[in-house]
Amino acid sequence: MTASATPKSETQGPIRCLVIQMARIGDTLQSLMALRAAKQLYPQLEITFVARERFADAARRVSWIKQVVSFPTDQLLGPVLAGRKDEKEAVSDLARWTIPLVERPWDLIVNWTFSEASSYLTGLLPGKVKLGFTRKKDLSFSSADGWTHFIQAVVQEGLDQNIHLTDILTTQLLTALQIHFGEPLPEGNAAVTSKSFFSLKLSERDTRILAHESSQKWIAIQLGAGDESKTWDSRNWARFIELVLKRNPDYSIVLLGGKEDLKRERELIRLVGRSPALTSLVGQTDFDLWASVISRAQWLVACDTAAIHLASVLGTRVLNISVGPARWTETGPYGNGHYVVTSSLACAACAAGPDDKAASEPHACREHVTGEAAYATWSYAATEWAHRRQDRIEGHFARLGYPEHLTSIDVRRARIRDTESGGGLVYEQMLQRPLTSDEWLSMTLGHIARSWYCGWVPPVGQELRRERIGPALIQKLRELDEATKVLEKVCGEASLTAMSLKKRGEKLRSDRLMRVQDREEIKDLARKLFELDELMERLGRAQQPLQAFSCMAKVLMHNLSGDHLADLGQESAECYRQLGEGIAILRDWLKHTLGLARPMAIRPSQPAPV
Amino acid sequence: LQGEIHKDPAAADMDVELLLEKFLSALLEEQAEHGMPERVK
Repeated sequence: MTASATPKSETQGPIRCLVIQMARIGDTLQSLMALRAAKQLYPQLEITFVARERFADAARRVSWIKQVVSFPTDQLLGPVLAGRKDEKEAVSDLARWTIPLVERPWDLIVNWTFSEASSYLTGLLPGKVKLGFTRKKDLSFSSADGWTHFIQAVVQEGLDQNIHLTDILTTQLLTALQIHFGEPLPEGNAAVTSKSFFSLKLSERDTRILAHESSQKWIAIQLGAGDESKTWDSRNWARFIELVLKRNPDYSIVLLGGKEDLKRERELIRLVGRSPALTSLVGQTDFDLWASVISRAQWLVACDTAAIHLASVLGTRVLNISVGPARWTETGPYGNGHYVVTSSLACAACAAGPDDKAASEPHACREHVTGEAAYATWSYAATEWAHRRQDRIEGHFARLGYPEHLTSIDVRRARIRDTESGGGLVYEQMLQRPLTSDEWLSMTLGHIARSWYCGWVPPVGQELRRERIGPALIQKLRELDEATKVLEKVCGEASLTAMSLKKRGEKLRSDRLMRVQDREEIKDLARKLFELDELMERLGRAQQPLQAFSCMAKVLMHNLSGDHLADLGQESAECYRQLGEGIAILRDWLKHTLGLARPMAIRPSQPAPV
Repeated sequence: LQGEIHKDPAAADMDVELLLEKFLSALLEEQAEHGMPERVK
C-alpha cells in the first residue's frame, strides 16, 4: 500500500465503523489486532464493536474503541430455548436490542463473525460499505467482498492455504478503507502488539497474585482447548512441567484455564505433585487477571485456545502445541518468534471428513507430540539469544537425548515478513524435512489469494527451497500439472461461453419475452456453462489441489448481482477470468517447482548454489 | 425499527420483520447445535 503526499485520511471527518464479532473470545482477539492496525493508519476510525456479553470484556478494555455493544445471548435466547418465551416475544426483544444500531447509517459495517446468523444482522443494518457475510434485499445470502469469497470458499471449506486469519482481516479492512475513504497516514505503520494493548482493572487480590514470585520467570500454561480433540493429554503436560521445573530453577509455572478445566487441573497436579514453583489459577481468572498473567509471563504454552491470541496481542512468546484438527497456519500465534509443534505423522481422525467413522475416533496426533518434544522445542526457543539459531534444532534434541521424539513432530517458527517480501506471517519449517504437497498447495493458494485481492505479490516460489523438494512431491506435481492444463482450458471455455451469453442478452429487448430461437440459444449456452462447472467440480474431486477453484466458482456465481441476462453474462465472464488468473499462477508455481527440482551441473571449482 | 431501516433508500422495501425472525431462528439454531455460533473454522 502506498501513501500519497497529502493523505485523504487527515482531511476527512470520522469514519463510523461497526464491527460485528459474535463468535468466541479468540476471534474477538484476532479482530482487535486487525482493528488496531487499521486504527493506527486511519485515526479517524470511530469503532463500535458488537460482541457476545460473555466475551465483550476484551473489547471494553481497549481504549481506542468508542463503544462496545454487547449481545446478551443468555437473556435473549435462554428463555426461548427453555420454552419460557415464544419466538414472537423474542423477535420484539431482538428488535429493541437492534434499534440503537440503526439510528444513523454506518460508513462501514464489518462482519467478522462469518456465521449465518450474523449475516441477517449485517443485512438489517444500514451501511454505506459492508464487508463479510450479509443478506441481499431478497434476504438471500451474500458474501460482500473478495476476501469474504475466499474465506467462504477456501477457509471454511477447510482447504489448505497459508495466509493467517489476522492478515486476512487486516488486509480486508485496510483495502476497503483505502478504496472508500482514502490513503492511510504514512506514519501509522507502528507495531500492533504491546504489553499495554488493554487497560486492565486489577483487584488487590489480583495484584498480590501478580507480585508473587516476582523474581521468577513465568511460563503460563493454558489447559484445555476450544474442542476436546485439540487438547493435550495430562501425562504429556505433566512430563513437560517436570522437565521445565527440574532443569530450569529460574522458572515458575502458572496453570490457567476456565472452570471447565478444573478436572484436568486436578489430574495434572496429581501427576506432577504440589510444588512451590507451580501455581494454579484455573477457574479463578476474569479477563483482566487472565490477560495480566499472560502479559507478565515470559512464555505461554497452550494448545489451540484463545490464550494464544491473547499472548500474541500482548507480545508474550508462545509455544503452541497444535494437536487435533487445529489449523495453525490460519489461527496459530501471531508475531515474531512464536513456535508451533505439530504431529508430522498421519492421523486418521484429522484426515476424516465430518461424516466418516474415523472422525469420531481418538486423534493419534495428540500422542505424537510428547512432553519431551515440547520441552526440547521450548528450551531451544527460550535460549535463542545464546545460540542465535546457529545450532540446528535437531542437534539440540540429540544433546538432550530426545532424538526419537523428533521423528513424529514438525516444528515451525513464526516470522513476520518484511513488506518487500510480501508482508504477513509465515511459519518457517525448523526441521530438514521434504516439502509436503499440502504445504506446497497452501503456499500456492496463499499466493493466488494475494494476487486476487492485494494487487502486488512477491515473485513465484520465493520461499521455496530446492533442498526441500523431494521425489514424492515431484510425482504429485507432475500429475497435477496435467489436470491443471485441463482446468485452464475448461475455465477459458467457460469465460468465452459467458461472454456469448452476455452478447446474446444485449440483443434482447426483454429478458422474459423473446423469440423461440433466442430462447433455445440461451438455453444451450446456459447448459454448456452448467456442464463446464460440473467438469470443474469433477476435476476438483479427482485432484484435491484443484478443489479450491470449483469452490471459488460456486461462491462467485452465487454472488452475482446483475438483474439482466447481459449483466449476469458479463459478471460470470469476469469470475471465470479471475479463476483463470489463479490457475495461471498455479501453473507458474508448478513450472517453477519442477524447474527447481531439475538436476544442475556444478563446476567443481564453483561453490554449490544455496 | 422498520421505520428507521426504511429511511435508507437501499433498504426501502426490506421485510424487516422477516429478517428479524430469520436472525432469531439462525441464532437459536447455532445456540442449540454448538452452544456458540460457528467459528470461522
